[in-house]
Amino acid sequence: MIEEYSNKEHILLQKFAGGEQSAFQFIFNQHYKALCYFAFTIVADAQEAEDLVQETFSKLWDKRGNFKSAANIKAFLFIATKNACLNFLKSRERLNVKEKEFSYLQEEQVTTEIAGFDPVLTETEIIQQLYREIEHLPTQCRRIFKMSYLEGRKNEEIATSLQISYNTVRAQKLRALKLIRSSLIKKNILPLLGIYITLLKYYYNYY
Amino acid sequence: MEIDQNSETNPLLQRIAWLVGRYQQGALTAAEAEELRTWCDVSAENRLFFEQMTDPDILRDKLLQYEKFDVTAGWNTFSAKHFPVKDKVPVRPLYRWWTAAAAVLLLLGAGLYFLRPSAPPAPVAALSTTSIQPGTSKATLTLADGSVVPLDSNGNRVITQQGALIHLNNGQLQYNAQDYTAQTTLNTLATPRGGQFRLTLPDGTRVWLNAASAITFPTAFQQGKREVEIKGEVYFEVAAMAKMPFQVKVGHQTNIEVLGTSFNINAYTDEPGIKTTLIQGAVKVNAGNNSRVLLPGQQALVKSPGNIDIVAHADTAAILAWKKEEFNFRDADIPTVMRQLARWYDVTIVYAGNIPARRFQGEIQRNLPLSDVLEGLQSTGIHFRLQGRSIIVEP
Repeated sequence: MIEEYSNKEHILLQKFAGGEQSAFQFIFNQHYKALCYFAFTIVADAQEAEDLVQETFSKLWDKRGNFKSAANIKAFLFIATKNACLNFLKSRERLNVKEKEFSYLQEEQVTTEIAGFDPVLTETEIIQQLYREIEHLPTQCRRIFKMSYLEGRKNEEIATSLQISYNTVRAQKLRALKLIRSSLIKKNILPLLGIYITLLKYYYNYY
Repeated sequence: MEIDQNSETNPLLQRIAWLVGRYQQGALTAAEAEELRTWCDVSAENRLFFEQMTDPDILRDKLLQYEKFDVTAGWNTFSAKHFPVKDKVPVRPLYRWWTAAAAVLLLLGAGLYFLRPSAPPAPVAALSTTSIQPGTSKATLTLADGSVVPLDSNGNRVITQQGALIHLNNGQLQYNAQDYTAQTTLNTLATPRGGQFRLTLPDGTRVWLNAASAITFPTAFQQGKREVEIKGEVYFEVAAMAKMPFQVKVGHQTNIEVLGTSFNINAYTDEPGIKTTLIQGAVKVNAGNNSRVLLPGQQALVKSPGNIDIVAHADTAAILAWKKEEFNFRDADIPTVMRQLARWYDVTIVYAGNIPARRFQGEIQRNLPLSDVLEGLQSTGIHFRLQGRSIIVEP
């Protein structure tokens, strides 16, 4: 498995360095949403966040020959995005306002390394993982989970709009939670189990 | 440059997550509660993180925000800027396609039989009762008097003709000039679709003909010049003769001047332009009033008379794959793949609707039945039907 993975990664990197669109798009798809979210959390402006991330990917494109691992690419993307966000805030002279919320922005303006605990980055990873888990639910299950949790719709409403029974809605909601839980355990993503309990809290509140 | 921040690997994060989980279950010991409190007091963002991640409503808002960022729109913006030629490519399938491509390439590492998938996708063969076999060594030789000699890979023969002896050995034709002073006559060796052939010219130059290709050459080269004319795709290993430059004529407008060298010419009329790829030595490509000298590894593309584009680093392995009995596709679109299949399997390609905008990657042996090749391609999500000798590509 590991060998297969590293082999795959090796091929990806080769194609990536060679400027192949498919490889680049693979990387883009993997990180785009998370980077936008990460940038949004810093600059608090969704459109601006997307523009900054586009610039980051342009930089990645220019440097595509320089990466030795997929983790390298990811590190570059997040560091470059963070720097771009900091520069953006500085240029808009909004730094003072944001400082109160994110004191880590007071550190050196341009970083080449993210060390220790970066709450924004951690949050981004957690949201990304959790969203992925939701997206991987079976169709009907996902639909019901999204309607109920993300759209905040009541069980009766969901049952009516999908023309299924109230009990089916409940069962599918529970199934979603179970599936997410077992997937998290299987992948051994411990930090998300804490978040999973947050989801459970939601269920206790809204049953 | 490292991010030691992966949720799976960062020990501090693991610890905090565990504490948060225990907190939410109400199962913290006094010491653990103190540890969590201390961590939250370290900085405002630690506290914020803790508060937000334990609040289901905030978590929901964050997921909704995350969901709003549209990767398809993002990619369209990006690719319009960086991949302008290919910006019609729809975004969604390519993600999966690359994965499929990776799988294909991985299998390739274990040998060239990768197109026999272990879990067979919808079998193409089932749609067709007759199996379409790959091309073989076959050609026709047209002699100066207009007579046509059919050639195949079987049997050894000697064909005599004024001024030259022609030996046929296992799918190879060899000319031995006997009399350089005899009147020169022109011969043409031509391969049909689904055929290939090899030839040694009277000067020792070796020639490989791909399917649906032809070369016209004199039975003996006269002093001063060696001239041949080709169609389709031909690979040359030209014997060095300093005082007798070798010239390849391609159509009316293009010719390639050579000393001792090896190079490939792809001049199929249904391909976009005439591609000359130099492997070794030096060639000069003349097109209309324009001419360019190629270095090894370079490719000249002549799309219109007088217009020569140079590709600095041509993918020579892919270009010469046909000589090694392989298809080798690198970032090839469907029509490119299909044109090669059509020539080698002598089939017709029909597009049932829009041509899917996929790009292919991978190597395939050319000696497999067509159904095997199509199965391999089908496993990447393209759909084909086989009707008689037509491949119907579904949109």
